[in-house]
Amino acid sequence: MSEFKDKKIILEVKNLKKYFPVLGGVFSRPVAWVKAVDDVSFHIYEGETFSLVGESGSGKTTTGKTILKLHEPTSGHILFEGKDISNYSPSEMRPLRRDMQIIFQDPYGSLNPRLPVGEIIREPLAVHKIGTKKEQEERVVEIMKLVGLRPEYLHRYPHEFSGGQRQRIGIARAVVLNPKFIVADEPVSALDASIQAQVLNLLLELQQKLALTYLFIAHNLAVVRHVSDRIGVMYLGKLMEVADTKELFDNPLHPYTQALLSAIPIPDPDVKKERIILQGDIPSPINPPSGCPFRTRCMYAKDICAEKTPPLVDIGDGHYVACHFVKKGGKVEYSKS
Amino acid sequence: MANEDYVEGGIETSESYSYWRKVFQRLKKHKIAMVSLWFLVILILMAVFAGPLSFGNNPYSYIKSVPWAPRPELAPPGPGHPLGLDNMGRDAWSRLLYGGRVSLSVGFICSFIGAAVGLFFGLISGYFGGITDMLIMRFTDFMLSLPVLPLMVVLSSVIKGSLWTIIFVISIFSWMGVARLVRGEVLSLKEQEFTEAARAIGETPARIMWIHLMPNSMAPVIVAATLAISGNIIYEATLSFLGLGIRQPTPSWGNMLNGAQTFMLTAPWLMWWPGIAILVTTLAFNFLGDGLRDALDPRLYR
Repeated sequence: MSEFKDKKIILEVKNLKKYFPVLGGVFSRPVAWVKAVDDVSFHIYEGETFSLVGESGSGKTTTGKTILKLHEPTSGHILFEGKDISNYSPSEMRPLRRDMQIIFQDPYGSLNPRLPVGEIIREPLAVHKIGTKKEQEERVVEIMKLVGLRPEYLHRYPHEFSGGQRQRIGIARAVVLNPKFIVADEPVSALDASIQAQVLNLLLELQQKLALTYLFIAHNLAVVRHVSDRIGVMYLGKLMEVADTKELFDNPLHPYTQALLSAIPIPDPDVKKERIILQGDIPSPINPPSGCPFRTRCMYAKDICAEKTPPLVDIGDGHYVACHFVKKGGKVEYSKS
Repeated sequence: MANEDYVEGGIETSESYSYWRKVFQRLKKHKIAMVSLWFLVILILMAVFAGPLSFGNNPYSYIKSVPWAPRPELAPPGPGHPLGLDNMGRDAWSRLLYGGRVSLSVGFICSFIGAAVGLFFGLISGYFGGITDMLIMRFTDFMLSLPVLPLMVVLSSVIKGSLWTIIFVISIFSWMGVARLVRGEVLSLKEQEFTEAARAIGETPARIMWIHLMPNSMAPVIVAATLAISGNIIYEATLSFLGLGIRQPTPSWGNMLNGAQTFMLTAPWLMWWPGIAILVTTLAFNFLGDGLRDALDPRLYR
């Protein structure tokens, strides 16, 4: 597996935590904490697409935005190209913004409705004072062509575009600085199915042309399978399983991953498959279950699951699983309780 | 994808149109607001061209005699003096025009200053939040709870008055509404992803406020500032009427009323015109403000 074994690590996240305060009382003091990201560690190799998947509320978007320091991490370390940026101030982060960018989920809310498209795309160049105004405008035209937007539309406003075109504007803004690393936060989930494929292919094409590394956040496994090199499965702020895309789909070891994969429809009416249906909802991240966060919905849960939090361990070949019953070499010891 | 196949879709229009053009198109459908707008344009032109429109008179010179009255003081309207002469024998029409200059300038400038100060505090308060927000908002509450008119009277009698001191005194009390409005807008705008995108690009808070937050919170500010113009004209008139605003011999609608009240029974026409001018102007600004509110309403927009 690993064509990536000898590759350079571009981003490393170590024990990252992000807790949001729940304010209450007369003095607006925190009365509880939402553990959106709770002790997450992973690394991303240069040039690959690493995907984070999970249900709504599993903390994948928060992870992505915390890595870019759009949220201040509660604890843990973020190493970008070897530099620990977790304690960088906004002004220390500014030069790094040229290398780390983000594509947002909502193609409507992520574009300022009062700025023409050309200005939206030129904004990053203006902020980082790259070139003269004329050079910046030329670069904007070049990027618009690259993402498949007519340069004539330069002076139009966001409301004059469709959702897919708007998402292309968002992508243009993210790549105009020639970044190395992009967090793509559910970039297609707000789009029509027919447009999704176009935008995904654009992202893949840009990755090739511009040598980009993606942290791809999604909840649609079919989309993820199409774009990713490696996948991390999140549940309630924790990583449950990390593996190469093929390995994860062929050999899912964590009970939660198995449940997720069993939900993918198979386009063949003759194939009978066992559907694992999870009971109940994802628990509240304010008061997560003790021990393994998934135990309340896991059909194999035993007493130990409530007592100890299973660590995310490498069971071989870069396949990581956080389950008490999955041992080294992929030996599975769980049984229905 | 080859560079030639661009994605199509969205709204096809022959040319791009900006937000403000759409607002004006909606405003044009609002009849009362458009009548008010035209009236105000004419009024402003009359104030600007007060000199040529005065038929050779000026607001400061005393007329020696008029043929249709025994004395020039308090002479009724007649040829060359359509509104008659005031108690010192000055042409009332000319004074009304020049008084309009003062009243309108005070209205506009105070509104502008109020909106600018309100925007400043509102943006900072909403964007930074926390202790900054609390301090600014408590100060705003404090200013709002003050009895405005008595304080204006005291202030303007302490710092005696030219046009600019009046503007200063009124402006002090005209920013709080805008500050609150803008803070509210910013609180919702900063949760939107384009603000987050701006931070991801590396924009400074000042640039985020200037480029992203301010233009998007302008709509209610424009409405509030337009409505505030009429309030400010009334404040100026009130202070001048009480003898604390614009001083003689400089005319303003307020001090013309003050001068005319003594002669209410002998020369009532001297009171009518400044009174009507104040009434109609404030009404027009209120109607225009209402029309703008409808035209800028974000629920109709998009």
